[in-house]
Amino acid sequence: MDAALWTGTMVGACLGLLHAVGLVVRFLRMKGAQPGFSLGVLLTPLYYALWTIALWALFGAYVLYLWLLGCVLYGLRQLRAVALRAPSADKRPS
Amino acid sequence: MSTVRRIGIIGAGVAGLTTAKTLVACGHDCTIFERGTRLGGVWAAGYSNFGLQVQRELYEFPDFPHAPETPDFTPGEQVQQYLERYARHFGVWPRIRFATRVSGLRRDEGTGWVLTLESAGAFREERFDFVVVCTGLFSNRPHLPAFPGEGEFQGELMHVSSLADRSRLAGKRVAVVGFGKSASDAALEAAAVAAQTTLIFRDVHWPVPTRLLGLLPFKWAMLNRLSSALLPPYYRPSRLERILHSLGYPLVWLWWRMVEGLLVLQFDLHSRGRSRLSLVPRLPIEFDAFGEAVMLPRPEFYRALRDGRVEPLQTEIDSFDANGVNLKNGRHLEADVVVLATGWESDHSWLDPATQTALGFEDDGLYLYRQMLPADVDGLAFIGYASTIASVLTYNLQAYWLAHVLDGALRLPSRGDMRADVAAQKRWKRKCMPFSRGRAARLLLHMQHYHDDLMKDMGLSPLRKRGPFAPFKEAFAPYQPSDYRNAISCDEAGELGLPKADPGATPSTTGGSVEVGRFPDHPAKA
Repeated sequence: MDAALWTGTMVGACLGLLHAVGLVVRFLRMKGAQPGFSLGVLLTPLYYALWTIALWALFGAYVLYLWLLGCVLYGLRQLRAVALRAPSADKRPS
Repeated sequence: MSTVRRIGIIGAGVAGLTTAKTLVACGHDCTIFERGTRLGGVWAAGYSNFGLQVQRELYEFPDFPHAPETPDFTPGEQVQQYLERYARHFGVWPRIRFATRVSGLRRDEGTGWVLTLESAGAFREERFDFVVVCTGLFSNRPHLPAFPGEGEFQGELMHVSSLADRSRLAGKRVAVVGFGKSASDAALEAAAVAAQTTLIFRDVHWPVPTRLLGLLPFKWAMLNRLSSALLPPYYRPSRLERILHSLGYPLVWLWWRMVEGLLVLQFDLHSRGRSRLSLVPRLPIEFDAFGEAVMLPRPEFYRALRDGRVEPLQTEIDSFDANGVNLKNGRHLEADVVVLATGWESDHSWLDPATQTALGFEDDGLYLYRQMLPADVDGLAFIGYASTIASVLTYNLQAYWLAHVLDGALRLPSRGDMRADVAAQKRWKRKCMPFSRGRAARLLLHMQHYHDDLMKDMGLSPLRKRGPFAPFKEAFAPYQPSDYRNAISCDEAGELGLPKADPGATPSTTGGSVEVGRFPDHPAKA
């Protein structure tokens, strides 16, 4: 149980890190080109980036195992739809 | 420098009032034309016991909150009074010409417009540089499907809008047609006094609870950025949303199945009740939620369906006869009153034919750039042609966006880029939303994406949460009008470069010679 929780947390933290880097890069692209840009302006996106990592780490285990459960159930559902040769419930009318 | 000075606003509903308030504050001379004798649009009059579907804090102007004593799910009459207070507070009232119907709109020799106005049986024309249509998605013409044998029916056939007093249903056998909010309200009104109430509908739809599992207000589950990201992706999705809906799709899929499970549990949709009819909708919730019949039913509605006070019949009317209706499932239903809760028609016949053609109306509505501007018609904007959960906020932001355009603070993309954006939006809606006559205007739960677009266009941060926990609130807390109070207040202080209000400005009551208006800095016209 502990190992599963740690694995999820680590996966979450890694995803959070990627998300946080994306946030800061996007901010720099937006504001970096503007006149009057100073490093002090970076404090807000860095604060958001830290929160992003923390939240991903906190909920990482739930995200990972719900995703795995979703993979199994969604896969089974797709297999069933194929087996029945019926239109998928997700199939949307045009 | 903008050459737009005189602006005609059609309709004194929520959209018309907030548009006038905003544009007057920016120094424009606005006149509102209202065909009724009361302001408020849909709130000026309604069917018996009508009111807000949402909590009051979702239906308020960011800069004019409701009074503390206002109840949630505010009754319609109180909403109308709130709008009257707003109009008085911001000096909009004197600019409204009541009982004045716009019966025609045609292009002036330049790029302005000539409005044909009908008041007390007299017609006259007035010229404006710019016209804002604030008449909403539909006109006041009820959508009344024609049924064979309708003329033979000895009972009363009415549209739900005529149901101002439920006492006329007392002791009668009532059939209500539809499954939207007005149909559910009408069925409950009938169930309280009628001898027999039947609800006839084609499809059931997912209900939105006022509180999820009776605990969590629905806004916490549906109106935050996390749930926005889990919706079928917006037509310009962020990178995170693209990943979530490709690699992460099983998680998204599971999320919506869990939401469906919670709703089935909460509303007991599997319990077939006396009618033996399952009330579990056929379509997945993330698709059905963008249909025409999204509703937050009154809590007793599903109880009434289950305990037989309202008999649900999933079928359609085939024809009428003298005593009632013949249904497509073969059953004959005896009825004294048939209430059609079948929505409203769109009516743009007052626009001249050339303008109608240029606007390009389609079966599912009118597709506009940012839900406001037609790409091929200058000098005309639609505010209020967007259906969201917090529509007052949406119209307020639209009005500010338009003020930025008219004052040159926001440069529009080229006509070709606007057309491309509209085409992308059209493809997206047709793929992700079921058909309805107002699909072009539908945003509903995607309103957060739309509000973000407007804020970014205006050079404002779309992130409105404040305080040390702002990043957490951005993800999980619901977005509502009060979050935009700072943006609106800033604007009033002139910090965004918009002109301040001219308190001495008075509305003009006659036409005048003014410069020809056009979108400022419109590349195609520059």
